[in-house]
This record gives sequence, C-alpha cells and structure tokens, in this order.
Amino acid sequence: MFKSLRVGFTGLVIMATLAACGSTGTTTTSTNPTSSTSGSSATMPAATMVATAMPAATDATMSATMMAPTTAATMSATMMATATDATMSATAMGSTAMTGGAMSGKLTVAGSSALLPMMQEAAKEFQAKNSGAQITVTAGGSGAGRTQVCSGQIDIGDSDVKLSSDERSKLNCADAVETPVAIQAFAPVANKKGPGSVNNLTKDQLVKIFNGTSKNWKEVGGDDQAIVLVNRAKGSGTRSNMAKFLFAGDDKQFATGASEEDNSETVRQTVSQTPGAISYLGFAYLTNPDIIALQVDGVKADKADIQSGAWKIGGPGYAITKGKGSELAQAFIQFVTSSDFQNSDAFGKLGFVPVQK
Amino acid sequence: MARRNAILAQSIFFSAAAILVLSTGALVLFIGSTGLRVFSFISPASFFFGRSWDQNTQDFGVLPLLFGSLATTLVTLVISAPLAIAVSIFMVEIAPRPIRRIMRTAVELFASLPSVIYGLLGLTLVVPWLRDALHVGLGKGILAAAVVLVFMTQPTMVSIAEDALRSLPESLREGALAVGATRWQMIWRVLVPAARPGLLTAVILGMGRAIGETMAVQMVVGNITSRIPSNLVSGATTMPAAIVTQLPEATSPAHRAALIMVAFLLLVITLILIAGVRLATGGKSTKASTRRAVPAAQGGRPAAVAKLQGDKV
Repeated sequence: MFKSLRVGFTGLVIMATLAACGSTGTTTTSTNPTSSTSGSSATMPAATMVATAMPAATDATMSATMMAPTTAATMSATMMATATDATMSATAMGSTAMTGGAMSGKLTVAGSSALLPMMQEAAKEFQAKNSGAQITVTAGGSGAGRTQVCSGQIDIGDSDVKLSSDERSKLNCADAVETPVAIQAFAPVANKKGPGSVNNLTKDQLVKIFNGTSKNWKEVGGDDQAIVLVNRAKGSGTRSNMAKFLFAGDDKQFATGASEEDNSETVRQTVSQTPGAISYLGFAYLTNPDIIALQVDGVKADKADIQSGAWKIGGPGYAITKGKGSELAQAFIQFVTSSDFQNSDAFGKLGFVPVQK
Repeated sequence: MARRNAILAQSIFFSAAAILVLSTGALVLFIGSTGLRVFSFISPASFFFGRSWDQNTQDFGVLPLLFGSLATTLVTLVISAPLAIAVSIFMVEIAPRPIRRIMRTAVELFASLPSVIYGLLGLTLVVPWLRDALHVGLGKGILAAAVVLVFMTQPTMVSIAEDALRSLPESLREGALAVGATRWQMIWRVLVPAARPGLLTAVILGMGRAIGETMAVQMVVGNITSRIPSNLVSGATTMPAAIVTQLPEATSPAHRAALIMVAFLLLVITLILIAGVRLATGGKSTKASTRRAVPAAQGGRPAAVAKLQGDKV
C-alpha cells in the first residue's frame, strides 16, 4: 500500500514537472498561428552556415519534411520553447549591442531559398568583421519568411515578393519594413528535345505555353513534341515572379494539371530528363548544361541586361523586419545593401545583380 | 536498499509510460484543435467533399489529397504485400543460411536508406522508366510513387512477416511433412494460415509506412492538388506530400488550418490502422501471433492434417 503510494507520488512529481514544461510550450504554440514552420526554423541552426546553396536548401526541405506530418507536434513543444528563447534573447541582445565599435548579439534570418546563398555569404562576411555577432541564416520559403518575421519568431524574413496588403492586415504586420537586397532574375528553361532550333520565344508565346493554349513545340516553331509543363508550387517566389511577368501577377492563369515541384533542384532534374519539358529557374541555374535557357523577345538573361532592366522577368528580393528591427538587424541589412558587398566577387558569383542605389 | 531501488525503478517506468501517454494525448489535442479551426473559414461539406484544392481560389476540398493517398497506398499494397510474403517465405523456408544472411543485410539496407535517397532514385530511374514505357509526358504520378513505396515498405513487411513465420513451432512443419504433404502444400496449407495474424500485421504496418511517407513521394508524385486524379500516371498528390509542399508557403490562415486538418485526418487514419493491427492480432499487439500459433500447433494440427488427407482422397 505504502509502496505503491510512493511510486505514484514520485511519478506524479515527475509528471507535474513535465506538465509544467509542456504547458509553457503549449502556451507559446497557441498564441502563435505559424507553429509548424517555426519548428523547422528551430531545427535549422544545425544546418546553418553550410557553405553552398543547394545542400543547405535541401536540408531545410528535409527538416521541414520531418517536422511536417506526425512527428511535428511531439517535437514542436520543445522546439517552440527554444525558438522563442532564441528570438527573445536575440532581440534583447540586439538592442544592447553597439557597445564598443563592433556589433554583437544574435540574429535569426529565414525565408526565401533563392536569397539563401547571398544571405549566408553576407552573414559570413559580417561575422568576420563583427566577432561578437552571431547570425543564423536558414531557408524555408518566402512565405515562411514573411509569416515568421510578422509573428516575431525571427528577426529578418527574406522574401522574393513584398507582403500583400492582405498579409499585412492578416499577419498583423502593418509596420513591416521591406528593404530590397538584391535583384533576382528568372528565365524560362527547357529540355533539349522539343524546342529544336528555337532558342527565343516571345512573351506572347510563353503566355500561351504556360496557360496551356499551346500544347506542342511545333506551334512555336520547334519539333513535333508535346509540351510538358513543370511548375513550382504555388506561393514560391520564383513562380510569383513568373506570374508577374506572364499574367500580370494573376497566378490563376497558369494551366492547371501541370506538376508542381517544391524546389529549384527538382525542377532542374525533371526538366533535364523529360523530353518536351518547360519550366523556369533562377539566374544561378541557367548555366547548367543539362537544360536550355530560353531568350525572351530576343533578350538573353545576362547580368548587363538584368541590371539595365532589359530583362523583364524578376525583381528585387527583400529583407523584411517588423518595425525598423533591432540595431543589429539594421546594421546587417545596411551591410547587405552596401556597395562594398553588392559589388564584391562573391555576390556576383552567386548569380545576383546589385540593387540600383 | 533493494526496496528503495525497486521504488525508484518503478517510478521511472511509471513516468516513462506517463510521458508517452501524455504526449500522444497532447499530439492529438494540438493537431485536432488547430486543424478544426479550418471550419471557421470553410464549411465541413466543402472540405470533405470538395473536389479541388487550390489556394488561388481558396478551395480546400480534401478529396484530391485523400484519393491520391488511398490510391497510392492501394497500388503499393497490391504489389508489395504478395512480394513481402513471398520473400519472407523464401527466407524462412527455402533459402540456405548464407543466402538468408545476404538477404537480411539487403533488407536492413533498404530500411536504413533515408527517404530522400528513395525520392532521388525514383526521380532519376522510376519516373523516366515509366515515362518511356507508357509514353506519358512526365511519368510522375500515383504509379511512380507506388513503385518507390514498394521498395520502402519491404523492410517493415518482410521483417515482421519473417518473424511471424519463424516463430511457428517446428512441430507444424514436421506434422505436415509426416502426413505426406509436399513442401509447397506445407507452406500454403499449414504455415501461411497459422501465421496469418502476423502476416496481416506486416501488411497493415507496411500500409502505415506507405500512407505516411512524405519526401520520396513528394519528389515523384507531381503534386497536383487541383483535381482528383483520373489515372495513375498523370500527376497527383498525397496528404503528406501536399502538407510538406504547401505548409512553408501557406500565408493565409484558412490554408494553414486546412493543411493542419489534413494532418489530423492522417493521424486518424493511422489510428484506425493501429486499431486494425490490434483486431488482426486478437487485441494482443504483434506478439499475439506467436502466442496464437501455439494452440494452433496443438489443437489446429489435426484439422490441418485432416484437411491435407481429405484433399488427397
């Protein structure tokens, strides 16, 4: 009798402790509508600062996968606590920075996978100059960047597109500040089989291909080969930029029934191995030998034409802060947009074009 | 001293059990309460019976996702279950020891491959193969996902089916052979029926693996959510694939809640599967297959033997 009482009691004490931890986690969770994505941001520090773009982006996708269906909630309570702590301490430390020359404190940056390599490079260089600063840069998608910065989970959100007015009100983010940090360019790409001798399409032809009116390459002067459309998933920054160019931003005009891929690497794979395939990719992917980068209205996607504005597909990528952001966040964005960084070799090599100042 | 240790040990075990129960409860509660919020944006009818899932029009009908998941799982099982049972029979009854060892290593290798590798193999091998063999534009779809899943479900199914067959008492085999059954008859008429609960468990757990797989499926299924797929090769989506593709970009609260509701449905389906395992094994978890085999060996033998004899007359 006494024994089982003791067992029960000790057990209850342990449970109570756990319950206390659990409830902290749950409180955070329920006040926060974007719980699942924040889980992935919390897991990310492990994968941060990996030098090259793709591995890191893949990591992000993978950790998001692991978080997604069933394991998510089990882990999310703990993750959540960590994420919030990290963010809070970053904000706290960020505001007490600026003591003695170099900046110090922690900063979390997440969002657009297209901007990821550039932000990682910037973080690396910024930390080299400010040894006290610790900047964590992760991907997760433009949408995640926008929602997480608005809910205060991260300090800076990267996005390929601006916040819509709808998002500003729904995400409680009216005071968001959007700073253009780099010009991104996107171009239509195709499999080697299909276009034949065609390496240039007019905007009108592209519109017809992507809205499903043209179904065979011979309609635009290519071989007799069915066109296979490959899209990025809705909400992707790359897709939004393409929609902006082709359909004046109206995503509904994309032909339905085309496959939708989660990331640029899968698009590249799929286009390179599917005869007749057409899709669109970021500037950094265009030199890939497996695929053809198509010219549009006689203009080739190269640096000069992108900078001069002759190349029409693309636009600035933004660093978003809620309000003006902490001093450290401001200093970091200032560094990213500085002409020193924007004109550096590393910046150019990553396939970005400097923001016109 | 010993008494105190015992109390401490029991407390630890009690707490461990409590953690598990509580976290499972929290999981169901959290996903359920977050997911059910979707019904403040759209009606249950348009969620459960909607034939299109499209964030552009804010239509969140779950049927394309549900249908994709069920069809993928069904096609997977049709190929994978007979294959796994045949492989496990081969490993237990036919293969000599060295070959058995090689096969077990192969199965373990299959089990330890990360799913992104399966996805990559599917994308570079299975998809082009289906595209060329069936002359379809892209080759992504339910069939491609099912082919990848057949390989992914084999380790789970083979190892459980193998255990179930191996745990059958030797007397069953001896008895069958003693009354003149051929090896084939012994396997099909005696061993497989006796191991049935275990084999069923293997199939159901493989099914759980198939329905929950995310990464590999997402890479080869085409991720088309806007319609219910009309065939196996023209692109579809599954519930987990849709969640992982869309959640990072789900900026509208309705979209986010709808995706979490899909996660909740997935959880419910998994719970039903687990209940299925219980039912199949007589409510005693997977180990029951071993226990039930023993009475079958004692009481069941005459029946099996009689049946064999009856067949021969």
